[in-house]
Amino acid sequence: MDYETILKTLCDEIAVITGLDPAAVVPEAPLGDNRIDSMGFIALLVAIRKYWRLDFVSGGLTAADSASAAALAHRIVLELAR
Amino acid sequence: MKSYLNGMDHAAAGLAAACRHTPGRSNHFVLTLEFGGAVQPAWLRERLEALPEMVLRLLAGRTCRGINLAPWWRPGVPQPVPLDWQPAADDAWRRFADLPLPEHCALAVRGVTSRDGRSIVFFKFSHRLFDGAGAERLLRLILTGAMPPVWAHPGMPSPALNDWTRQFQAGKRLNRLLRAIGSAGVILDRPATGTARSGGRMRLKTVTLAPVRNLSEREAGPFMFGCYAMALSARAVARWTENRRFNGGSRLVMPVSLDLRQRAAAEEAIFFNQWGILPLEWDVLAIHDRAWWIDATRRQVAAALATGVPGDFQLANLPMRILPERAIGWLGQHCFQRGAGTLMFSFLAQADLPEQFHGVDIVNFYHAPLMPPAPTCGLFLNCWRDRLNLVVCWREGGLEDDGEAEALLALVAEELTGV
Repeated sequence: MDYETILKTLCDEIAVITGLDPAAVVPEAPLGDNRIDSMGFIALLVAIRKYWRLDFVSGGLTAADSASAAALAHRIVLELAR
Repeated sequence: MKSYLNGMDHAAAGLAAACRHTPGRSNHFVLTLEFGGAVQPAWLRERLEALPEMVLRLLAGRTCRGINLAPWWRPGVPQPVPLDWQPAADDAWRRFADLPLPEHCALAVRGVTSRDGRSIVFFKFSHRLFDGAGAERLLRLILTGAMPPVWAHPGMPSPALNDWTRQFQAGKRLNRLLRAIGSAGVILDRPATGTARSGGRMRLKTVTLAPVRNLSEREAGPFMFGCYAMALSARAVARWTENRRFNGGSRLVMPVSLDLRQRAAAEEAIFFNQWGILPLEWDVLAIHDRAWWIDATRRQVAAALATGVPGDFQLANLPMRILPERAIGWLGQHCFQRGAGTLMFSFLAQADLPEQFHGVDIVNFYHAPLMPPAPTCGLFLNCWRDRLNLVVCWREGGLEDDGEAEALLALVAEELTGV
């Protein structure tokens, strides 16, 4: 799966979690600026597990990986390529 | 358009009924602002008088039932918000918290001026119309004076009478979860004795926020502060119960409250209960494994969010709306007394309040609800600027003495700061 598709899925999921308009989600902005908080982040990890079967709930993400939706998408691409 | 109550509003009504013999006659909650200097009562009175009529009508409202028995909130005749000012006293919070709110009045305010001239202002909110996060939003409007011209419709716009399938599915999921918790073994339990008529008590401890956040990032990873706080508070409770007169259960169950506001709509989601409950459990035998507590918490929260359990509490008890409120209160108490929890836990992240009011610094801000007779005791965490406030609230008699609450707070602080 390519980076663009993953990023779009992540941004759509952020919109569902936060109630934001999907067009208002900024992929490069910090997740907090897209109104993701502690519970929202766990909901995002649940979505990642559902879509790509990657389990980050118990850890494995660095602060850099979760800096933005774009950074998270990069990390998912890397994991899927392994 | 009518504002119908959701499932958590019914739960709040049930809790209020369970508290009817207490001095405060309800389970309202108090938000406290501590100022760095003196606040003039006139400043607050002016802001309270400037509240829009629609807000004042909601504050003066009460529940009514339609022909379909679905309760809705009938706005009342606007009344001034009660505001008084008292000299300082050590038990100022307690005196105010134990006063019932006047009839059909969802907000009352009291200020006290300490001997050194600094003001403390208590805002007492009815749980029938507000939850903690919604109350913070109204408080921001009062302090800033920035009243929005348009408000989102509060409550449910319809009674959801044709939505039985979703309601029963939510109930089924909750029943399955609660039965699984109940059947897995003995739950560590605190005896709840003689507290149905007791007044409220609270103790506060404040720690510096930055080291806790750093430790959370290191031990739990990014964006995990809420889970970290839940996990280590629960571990502190487990340590606290080790040498006390509790039963010998090996499982700790703590009902945790979660704010279910969608962040984009949060600005206007002020009224009614927009939260849900998530019962979490931990194996007390794993007390020495700090990492296990954090991971077990993350996994349970993730599993609950995947199945939608926190939101189920808003839907599942809608069929109960046909019952009288006292019956809902009795059912809620009955469930707790069967061992559904040791104490209640709540965490609210940084409040979006101004740092000053009329040029006077707001030094601290914290939540302190009046706990229902069961589960008697609650632990409430919130952040204010560079502070993390740890508050224990309980019904008199629910803990042996203030020292017991202070011991719990010391353990929570120790867990969270790692010191």
